Amino acid sequence: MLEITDLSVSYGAIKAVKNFSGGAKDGLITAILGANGAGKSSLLRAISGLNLITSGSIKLDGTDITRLGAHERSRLGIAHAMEGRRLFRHLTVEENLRLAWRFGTRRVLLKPALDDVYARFPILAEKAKIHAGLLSGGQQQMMILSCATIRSPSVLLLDEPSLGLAPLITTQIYQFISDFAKSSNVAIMLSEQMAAIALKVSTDVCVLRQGASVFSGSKQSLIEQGRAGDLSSMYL
Amino acid sequence: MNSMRTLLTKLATHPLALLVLFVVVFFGAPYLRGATLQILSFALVSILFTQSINVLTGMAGQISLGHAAFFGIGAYGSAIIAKTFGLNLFLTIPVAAVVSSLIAYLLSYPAGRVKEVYLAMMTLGFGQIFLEVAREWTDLTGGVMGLSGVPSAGLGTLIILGHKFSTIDYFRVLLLITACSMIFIRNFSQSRLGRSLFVMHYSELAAGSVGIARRQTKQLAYALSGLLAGISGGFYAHLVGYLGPESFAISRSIEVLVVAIVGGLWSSAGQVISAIFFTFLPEQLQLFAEYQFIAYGLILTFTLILFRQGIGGLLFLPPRFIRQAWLTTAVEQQRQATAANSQTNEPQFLKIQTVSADIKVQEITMRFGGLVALNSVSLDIQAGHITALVGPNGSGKSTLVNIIAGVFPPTSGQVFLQGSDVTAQADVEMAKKGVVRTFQDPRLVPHFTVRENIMLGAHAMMHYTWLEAGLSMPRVRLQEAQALEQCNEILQLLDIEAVADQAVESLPYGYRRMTELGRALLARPKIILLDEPAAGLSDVEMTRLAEILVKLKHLGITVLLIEHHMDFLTGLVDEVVVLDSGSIIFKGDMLGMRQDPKVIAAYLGDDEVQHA
Amino acid sequence: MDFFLSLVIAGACVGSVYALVAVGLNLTFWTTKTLNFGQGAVMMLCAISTALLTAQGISNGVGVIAGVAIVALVGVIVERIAVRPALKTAGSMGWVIATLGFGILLQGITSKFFGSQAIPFPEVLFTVQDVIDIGGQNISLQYVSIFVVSILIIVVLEGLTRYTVLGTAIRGTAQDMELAIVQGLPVNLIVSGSFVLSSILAGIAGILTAQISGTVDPAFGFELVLMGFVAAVLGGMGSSAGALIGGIIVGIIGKLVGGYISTAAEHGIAFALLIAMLALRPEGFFGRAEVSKA
Repeated sequence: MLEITDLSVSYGAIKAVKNFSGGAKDGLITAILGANGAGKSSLLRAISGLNLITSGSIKLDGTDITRLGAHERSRLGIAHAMEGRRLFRHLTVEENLRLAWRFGTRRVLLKPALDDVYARFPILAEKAKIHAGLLSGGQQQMMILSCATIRSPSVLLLDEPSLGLAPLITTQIYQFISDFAKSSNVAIMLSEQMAAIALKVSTDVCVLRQGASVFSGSKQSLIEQGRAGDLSSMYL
Repeated sequence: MNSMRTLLTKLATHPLALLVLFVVVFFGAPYLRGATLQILSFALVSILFTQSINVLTGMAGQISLGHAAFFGIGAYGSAIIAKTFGLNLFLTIPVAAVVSSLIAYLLSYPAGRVKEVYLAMMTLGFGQIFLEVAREWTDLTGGVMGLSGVPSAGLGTLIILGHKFSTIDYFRVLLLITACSMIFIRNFSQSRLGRSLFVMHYSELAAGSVGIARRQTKQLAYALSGLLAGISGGFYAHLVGYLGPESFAISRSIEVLVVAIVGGLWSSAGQVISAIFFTFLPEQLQLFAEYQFIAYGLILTFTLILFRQGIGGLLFLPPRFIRQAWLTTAVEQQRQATAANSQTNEPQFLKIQTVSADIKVQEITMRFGGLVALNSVSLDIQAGHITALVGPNGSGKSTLVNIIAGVFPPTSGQVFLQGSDVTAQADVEMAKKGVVRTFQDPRLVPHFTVRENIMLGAHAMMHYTWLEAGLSMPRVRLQEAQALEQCNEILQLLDIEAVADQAVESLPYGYRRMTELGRALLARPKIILLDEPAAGLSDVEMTRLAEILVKLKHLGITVLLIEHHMDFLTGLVDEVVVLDSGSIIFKGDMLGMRQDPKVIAAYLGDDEVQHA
Repeated sequence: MDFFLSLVIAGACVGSVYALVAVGLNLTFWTTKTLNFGQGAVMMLCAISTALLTAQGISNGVGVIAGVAIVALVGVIVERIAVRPALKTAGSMGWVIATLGFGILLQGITSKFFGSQAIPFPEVLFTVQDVIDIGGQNISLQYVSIFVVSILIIVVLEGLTRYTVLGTAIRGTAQDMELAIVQGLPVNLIVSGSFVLSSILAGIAGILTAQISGTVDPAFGFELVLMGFVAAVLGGMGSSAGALIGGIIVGIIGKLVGGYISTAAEHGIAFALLIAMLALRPEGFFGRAEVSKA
């Protein structure tokens, strides 16, 4: 479980995130929505430790991790798939997966973990020995998600997993994310600009605008308050 | 501490104080012991040599690990010409220095194209090549045995126009040349060319955006550096009377780096003290001579980390790159003029006198490898309007602005500025044509004041040469003064006059944004391209910015800005263009944009969410 | 023809040592985009340590190991006190000067405590007299042995980077350090490790070279590291295969020029090649041209 209280993140004078409170529950998905520049990536990066926190706190399963560095947070089980489909382009698919597994929590052995991934995404098995940079966008995203999940994390942070992908692949990916949440009981926080698909799988929603939270609550309440139609004004 | 610095700076820069110092040393020379006189002569040579590093590394930020080569070219050059043709040093040293300068200029071609680590290797290699040539070309240089019989005052063999030069005469000539060189360099550093050297180091893109020609600027830095090193080498040759190749090995290059770094990389005053210190130290302190390598090693390893500013930073106020006297006069005149006019504070020199500029972009496609960033985009940016470019990440906004600004050409398609095809024009050319841009994060010279940074914008408007700058010709004062007046008008427009003379690195973010905007404005844009200008600004600062943009519109300047901040754009822009995945999906006003289904879909996904 | 062949063989052998240096430089360039401009002093330190220890009666093997161990430690130190702080505070080129300075410091300390005279280097691998017959030529076994050792080390290193987890982790860190951090890779360790490995390779290169020249003095190593630069640049910074080929090319061309034109030009031609390569094709033969979106 991830709990964030009153978090602020600044780059020098740019206040990227202002007093954000929210979190993610085990086995459930929280969607962070907003236009570009809203602060979604900055928020996720602050959680995984890549960005410095100016004020506020983050708790992982009750433990305060605010002071810990990215490396330690990773060891504690925070997995972060960064924006822009970041991967090791000149390593093979299998090398990417092995590396992710090796430096994750290793709750599962390598062979069964790899078999799992290949069963889920047969195309990755086909391309196992191919350099990751040569895969298509969708295949790369499958690999990146698998790298995050093969670590047996406690918290999964996904930054715009649908960016640049065709609708069919996006659906496939989101199916995977949704299944994984249920089967592994991992707390998932994902950011998306494309609200629709994220809303389908999430139970909680936060909408950011220029770093500040303009809505925070359950998806149910978003719909009940009739604010779903308001989303465009929250963005634009 | 600061008051001590102020006092020392006043002393070090006051013409009268310097004149007194010069006169005292000049006329006091005969009263010094021979040995002291000789050491002082070496110190002067070192000062000159260090200035060559000051120009290339301190100002232009180009590292050189083989500068002994230029020193050597000057030394061997002057000595060989003197011995071969029997000419005196007033001829041979300049010739040798010009040769050194020329070779430095040639080196700037490969050197100017590579990144730092390769530059370091290249200069190391170059230094080694010179050493090998000096060792091996025995016919010319005397080879390993060296070149003796160089006309020298110390040996009594320096005879010029019938007069035998004593060591005192030599010292005086050297003193005069060094003093003149220092004055020249100071004038140069306080000119547009000196300032442009600095910006090359910190951001080549920023330089291009205001019309500073990158290649020429680097060439100038190398050529001037080579000249100074050559002069110092020449004087060295006639001081020692004998040249051996080992005097021009890597240790010489390292020594001059040590002196420059300890003095403070762009502080002439600090470097003078450092040069004198390091010349005297081995003589005075036998201990030092033993530990010299260790000392140099420690200095090089830790000074840049622990003691960046060097002696210059310790003892003096930061050097300034605008002539104080001209600045004071210009500010006075500008204030009087403004008071007399009592106009609104819209700098009239920015007013578009003829017709506002429009930009037409026709079927622009941009491919980076397999990625299509822009897909046959066509757009008319209306003259004199404020247009916003918005869109989700990766939509191609920055790419489009880069193409218009001339940072790189499109894969296909054309760009027209007021009807003429400017597709192939590079950013420097576009800036000169009046297309100026700012950057997502301000690219400024950190230790320059707000004013000095803004003055970079005037670079292409002024036309005096480096020689005129160094000699401080009247033309220079006129052009600088005019630029300074206009600069002050801009400072008032942007309401940052109060911090004009503070270093930007010490100012909050909002000021830095304004400074970059000011620099762009001083370049007299017809069209100004702003990349996320509102990012990081407080509400107050944003309101201010919006007011300024409206003023620019009144002056006839066309404004195109990339923004995410929708509230900032509301009420400000005449037209908003929405890009998504490399194509335009909407053109119109803000209200229409907010309600347009294609735009909503681009940002939110399909409109299922409306019915969720 | 004999003369030509002997030059080519000698060139390939010294070239392989240049390649060894280049591979070491590549390692730190991968992980930190920096390299040790004072690497020459590292080579010298290793060779001098070995020479001094063996002079005290310690066996050659132990002497070599001790020398290598000493410079491995130096590798850790130079990263900690010169490179890391310089990258943080001294701008884009501070590390060049800081590492250069560190090398000078090492040289100065060595000079001060052991004098600046050349000391004899023991014959660790074979003796000067040992020769082998290759294609009718009498080739010094010392030359051949340094070739074999260098190639062996490079191949082993290549194998390690390709087939072990650590090697994969190093390659990953080189490609995207932030990604490596967020995936829990021990980046600090990897960076330190790359400097240690780089110093070890330099140290071995120093020993192999000292083997040939027979003596070592505090100024030893400077030209050798420059040759390493040339090899690395020719082959393309970051490419091991490139370093190997670059090194051998430099070695052969150097020896040929040395043999047919002038011995002094042997190194000079390498620097000329360096400048030409940087001017024409900075990414070398096998490197990747850097494309930026601006």
